[in-house]
Amino acid sequence: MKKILFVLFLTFALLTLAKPLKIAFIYVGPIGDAGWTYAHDQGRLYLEKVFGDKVVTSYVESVPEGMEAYNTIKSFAKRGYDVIFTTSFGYMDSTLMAAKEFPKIHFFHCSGYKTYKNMTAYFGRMYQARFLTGIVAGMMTKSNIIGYVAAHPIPEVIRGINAFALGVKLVNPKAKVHVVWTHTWYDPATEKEAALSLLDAGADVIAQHQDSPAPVQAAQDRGAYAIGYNSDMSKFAPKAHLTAPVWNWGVYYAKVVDEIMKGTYKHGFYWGGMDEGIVDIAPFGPMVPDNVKKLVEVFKKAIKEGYFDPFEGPIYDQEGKLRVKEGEKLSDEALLSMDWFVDNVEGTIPKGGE
Amino acid sequence: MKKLLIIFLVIVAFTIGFSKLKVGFVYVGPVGGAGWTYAHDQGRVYIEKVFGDKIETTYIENVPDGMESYRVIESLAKRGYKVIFTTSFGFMDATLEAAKKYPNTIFLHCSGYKTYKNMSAYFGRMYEPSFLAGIVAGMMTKSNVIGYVAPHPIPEVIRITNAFALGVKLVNPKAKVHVVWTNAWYDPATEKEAALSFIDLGADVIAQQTDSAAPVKAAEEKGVYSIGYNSDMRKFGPNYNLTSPMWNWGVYYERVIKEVLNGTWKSENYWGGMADGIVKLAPLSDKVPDNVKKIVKVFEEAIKRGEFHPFEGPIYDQSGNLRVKPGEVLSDEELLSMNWFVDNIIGTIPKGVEH
Repeated sequence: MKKILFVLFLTFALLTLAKPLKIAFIYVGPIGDAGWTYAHDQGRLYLEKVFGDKVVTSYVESVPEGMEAYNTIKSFAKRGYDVIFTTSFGYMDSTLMAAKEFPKIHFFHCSGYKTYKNMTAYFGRMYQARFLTGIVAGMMTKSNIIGYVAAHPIPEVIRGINAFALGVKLVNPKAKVHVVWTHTWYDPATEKEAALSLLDAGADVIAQHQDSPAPVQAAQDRGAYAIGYNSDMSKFAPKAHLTAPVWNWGVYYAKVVDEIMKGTYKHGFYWGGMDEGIVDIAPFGPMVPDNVKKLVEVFKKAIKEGYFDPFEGPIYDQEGKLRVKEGEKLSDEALLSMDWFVDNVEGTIPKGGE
Repeated sequence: MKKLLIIFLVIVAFTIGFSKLKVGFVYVGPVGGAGWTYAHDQGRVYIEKVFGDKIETTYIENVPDGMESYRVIESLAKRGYKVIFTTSFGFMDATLEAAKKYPNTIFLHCSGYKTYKNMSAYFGRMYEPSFLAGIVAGMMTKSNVIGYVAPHPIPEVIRITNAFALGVKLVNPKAKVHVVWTNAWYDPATEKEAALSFIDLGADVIAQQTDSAAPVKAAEEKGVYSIGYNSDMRKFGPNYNLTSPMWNWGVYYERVIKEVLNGTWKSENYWGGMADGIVKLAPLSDKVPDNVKKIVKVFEEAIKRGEFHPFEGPIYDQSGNLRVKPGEVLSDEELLSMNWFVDNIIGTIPKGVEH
């Protein structure tokens, strides 16, 4: 009897040990070699590297937003996946529905705000990295016209533009950040068109909140500088690429997977910053001078350690109204619902945007 | 017998309890209303306020450098002064001689390097707030010509001038710092002359390391920004003075007196920075915009925390040689013997000058 019990125990232990954690990723775009989905997939690959045969990962690309995503999520749940990451804002409600239907599966939804007992909302404080890239742009511009190709007029994008513009203003209050909306996350042709219109208007640095490298390529074609986004885009425009605010999802994915394996993970709302490594800036291009690097490095430390916040006052909006008083900083709530531009942004926020 | 003993004890206790610690200061210049000696005297006034009737202070002004100062120091020791601060580099040997002769008196000599069992050497890392002042100058200049009135070409002055220029370069690599030597610590006429010649040259910010407020006043008259030195010189340039790297000796003098009173004082070679509060940047004027204030605040904090050092590489000298490699920082030894200018300074260091 004792022997049988022991064998049983051994089998069980072996089974548990051998059974890898199955992890799925639902992507809104193609992985490609840059951009939003690429950055998430880099995180998936990092998980494979860190956990080896303790995990099995899978992904589906170009899944349409909205309730159509629900079927894809559900199919993974039914196939025995233990952890499902859904990496687009538009997957939020589908993910929540699936979370309610499959209470034993861990769901992670990126860039939204809804949570459940087995569903976490996660995101990164990209505005911190954007502020640093604004410092670089402000120091590098000569025309004092900086172009910004922006996707949709939602708080996330507005917050990023403002943080970038505040970085510019820190070092160069004369420079203005000119915003053009594309109303798309990923559309190389439209992104390029927008970048060219800004370059025509005299911009000598192009920044972007877009998923393709079209804007950095357009900048290089015209001999201007560029700041990429999502991942290091230097390979697409080595002569133009100054740096880029980048995602580093891997550190977060490894942290939660490790906690799930240990049985210690608790779901909730996560908004990590540079101190956690989830956001950062890409290495500087060779054209960025030493003094600019020193400036950025010190502000990076200050943000990481919390003795500086990009949204600390005084901050004024486009109408000259004091929005953040000296010695104060914006709350997360104010950051998450931001619908106004700081005073050195040229451009308007369309009303009633999605 | 018992009664006698009690009376004796009471007298002893009375004497100890009510004998004030006598603290003397030997100054090289007049206290005046600004400058090096003024800053030290502010420290003296501060400890009088802090310690009240536990101490008694005195000072002697305009004491010449060299061994002539020995008589003054000795006279204070003879008159029962138990703590004597001598606040000029040129008092060093005289202070050491007095320290050897009066082993029960505590001597503290400012800006030198010799110590003894009852003699400390003390100084402040003025290059830290000077770096911050350079950031302000670099952000405020439009002509990219910044004038710097410098006294003597010794390592202390060269180091602080370089720190200022590195602050300028951090935010504005196009701006140049033009240096002129007055060859005097305190000479208002020459300092004014130097400032005016810079303004003629197109300088729109005048900085200084000399002891008088003459450069600040000259800049004020011409409507040009100024950065003072030693103490907050705003009152001499209410409209155009932006700030001043300044001494705050009081915090160090307070610590020394506290230790002497507690019997815990030990001879030391002290070189404190902004983290200790012994040096700081005077409040920025309203002319300095918010964005500049933010940069200065963050760099001040980073320096205090030891996360940034004004002399961290890469740093190049005037000949384009890499003097400090990326990721490295100059040692205190290198800082204390500095005899070269960084690459955005226009000016030369005369050779074979007094040290």
